Amino acid sequence: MEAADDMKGYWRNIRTAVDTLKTGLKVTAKHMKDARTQRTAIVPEADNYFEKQNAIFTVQYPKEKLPVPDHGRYKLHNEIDDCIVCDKCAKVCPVDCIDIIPLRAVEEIGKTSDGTPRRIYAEKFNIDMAKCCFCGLCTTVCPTECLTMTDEYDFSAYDFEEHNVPFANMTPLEILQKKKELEEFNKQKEAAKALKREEVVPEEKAASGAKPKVGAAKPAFKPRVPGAKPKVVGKPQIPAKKEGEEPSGEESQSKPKPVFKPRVPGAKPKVVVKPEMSPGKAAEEESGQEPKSKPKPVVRPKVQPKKQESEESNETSDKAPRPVIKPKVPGAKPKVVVKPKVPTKKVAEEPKEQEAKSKPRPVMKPKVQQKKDEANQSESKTELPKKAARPVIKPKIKPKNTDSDKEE
Amino acid sequence: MYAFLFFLIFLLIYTVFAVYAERKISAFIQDRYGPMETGYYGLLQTVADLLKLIQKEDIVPFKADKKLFKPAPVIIFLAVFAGFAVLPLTSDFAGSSAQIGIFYLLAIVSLDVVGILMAGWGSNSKYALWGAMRSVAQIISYEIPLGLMVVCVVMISQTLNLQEITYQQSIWWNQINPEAENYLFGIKALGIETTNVGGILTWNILRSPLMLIGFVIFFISSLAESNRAPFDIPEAESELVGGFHTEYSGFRWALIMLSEYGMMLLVSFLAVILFLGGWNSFLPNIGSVKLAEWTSGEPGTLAGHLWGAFWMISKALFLVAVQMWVRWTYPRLRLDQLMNLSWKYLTPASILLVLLSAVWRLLMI
Repeated sequence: MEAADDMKGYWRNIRTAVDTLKTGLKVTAKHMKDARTQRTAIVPEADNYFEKQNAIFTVQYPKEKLPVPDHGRYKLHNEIDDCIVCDKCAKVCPVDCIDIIPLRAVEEIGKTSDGTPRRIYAEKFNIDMAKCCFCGLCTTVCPTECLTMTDEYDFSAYDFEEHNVPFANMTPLEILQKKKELEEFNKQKEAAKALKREEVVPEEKAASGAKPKVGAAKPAFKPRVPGAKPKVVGKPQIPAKKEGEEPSGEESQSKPKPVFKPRVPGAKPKVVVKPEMSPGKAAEEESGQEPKSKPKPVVRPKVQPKKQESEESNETSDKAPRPVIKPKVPGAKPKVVVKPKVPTKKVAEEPKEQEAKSKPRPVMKPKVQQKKDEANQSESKTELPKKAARPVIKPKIKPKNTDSDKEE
Repeated sequence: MYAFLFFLIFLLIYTVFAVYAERKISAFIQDRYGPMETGYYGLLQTVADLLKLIQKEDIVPFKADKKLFKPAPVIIFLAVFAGFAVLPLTSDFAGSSAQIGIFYLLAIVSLDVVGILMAGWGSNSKYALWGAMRSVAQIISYEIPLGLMVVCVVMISQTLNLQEITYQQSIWWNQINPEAENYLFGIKALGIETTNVGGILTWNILRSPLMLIGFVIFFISSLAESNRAPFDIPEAESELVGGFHTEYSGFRWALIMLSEYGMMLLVSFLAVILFLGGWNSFLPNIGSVKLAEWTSGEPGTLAGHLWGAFWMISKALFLVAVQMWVRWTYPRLRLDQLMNLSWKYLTPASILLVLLSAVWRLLMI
């Protein structure tokens, strides 16, 4: 019997072999036959994207290309004529591949295609595509949408340096010229300040010099980019911290910081997080808290976002590091901050409405003065109301201390 | 002399384009284009590859047995190329019309093993040695069904002369043997004489329909004989790196590749002569429509040469293409499967066929 079974298996093997070999040859013959045509290039959105096509699959790349979106995750392009050199892209870049040297103009140098006034020249605007991680954060954060990702993905080069693409279009001569102009302008301003100081009207100095520029620009930013506001919220925080600690020396130190801060990429994402939380909460809290005290409104907006954060930080130990980072962010803002000085002063004296508008702008220089003023004023008047808020503030302060310690 | 020059040049040109065809066929089977850049549709790709190979350094491993290592590729190539000597390309064109042509051919093809063993042993590399051992084991195993199939044909044809075997499948058989007669399926009792009908009806696969099976067995064995997939364990790129030619480079490696493709062509020629009518047209004479005569010339005339060469070469190249098709369809057999196939299936079937052919021969006379 076994022998018979073996023989059955023997014939079955032959039969199976013949059948399967025939099937195999048919399969490959069909592929050979279909190789006369090439598969059509279809985008993933197409209805027949998953339908099987029996034809040559190869795309002969340099000659043929698959369709890609106009704005994919490919090479960056900056339309320098539309760029207001806000530095947001450089700050948000997680790999620091954008290198910007701004050069302030003495007056408005034109408008971008969406009507935003341009006030800063880009002495240098380099994007190092070799470092770029193609995350696209810079394009989402760009307020004038001048920074875009193109559909160009084939930009290999023989020289590594060729990946460092310059977008600034100023000649060295132009740069020199503009620098000179700015120097002269600053000299004149200093002279004017000196005159004013003699008159002892610090507030007016700041207003006359820095305010017009910044104030004009801000309205344009806020409506367009909601994301920009969070940053503004963060800036106010700094003064609050300073109030708690009141290191006068740090203020002067914080000015140079702007240069350092952009370097810390980690700080930016955090800023993004804050905006989401703060706007809504801030709006709710503001309505309830505003009535308490006039000076507070200025402080509170700053404090509230912090509170939320601090609450979060309390909840999760991981979040604790954030406060450290946050201080950095405010430091970056100082450029914009110059203007706020005036509003804060006004707040102390004037109605809240102006304060709300001016919050984002808190300027560095005025801060010192303001802080002193505020310290004098707020310590006596406003500290009590603030105390209620303090529990929230304290956690914030601690991280700040660590920051300041580290920085120092 | 002419045959020598013709086959040498033809072999070189054929190899260049066979490699190209191999790459194209594999590409099409795998939904690719294959070479496309060098020349129109990549036609000159192999020429460029060959130029590169010739310029390459001839690396001889320090520990290699140089007396074996260096001449091995030459011996392999010589063994294969010598086989072409007895092939009747047309009715009147062959290197040698030796009476023992098929016997000589089998002997010379086996000599190939010696070169492969020299290459594998002389390389002083485990992969090369394994490849050579496998190759020898495989070729010797498959020599048996291959040889038995040749015996079948010889029994049907009653001759070892390849030219005469071809004539028997031709409408011109009566030119060399006026009394010869061919019958449909070789069965004289049917009384349907096909001597002057020719075409596919007088090919050996139909002169003795058993040879249809015989042809399949011969084709499978010839694949193993030329170390082609699915019987390419001697090379086995994915496990033995390159098998017996792992240590070769440059021109010597090119010679080995030339031999492999030459072997493919040789066994294809042999299959065509033994089973597929050699230089004869496949179109039969049908009544007054003399398709066979129109598509083949009288032996000795220019037309006879041209038609003969055309049919012979196109049939052989078709078989080579089938070999490539098979190679890119089937996976490689394991060594035990390989031996199983040879000893348990092909060899018994071959012996059976030899017996049946002997009976069939009785029907033919």
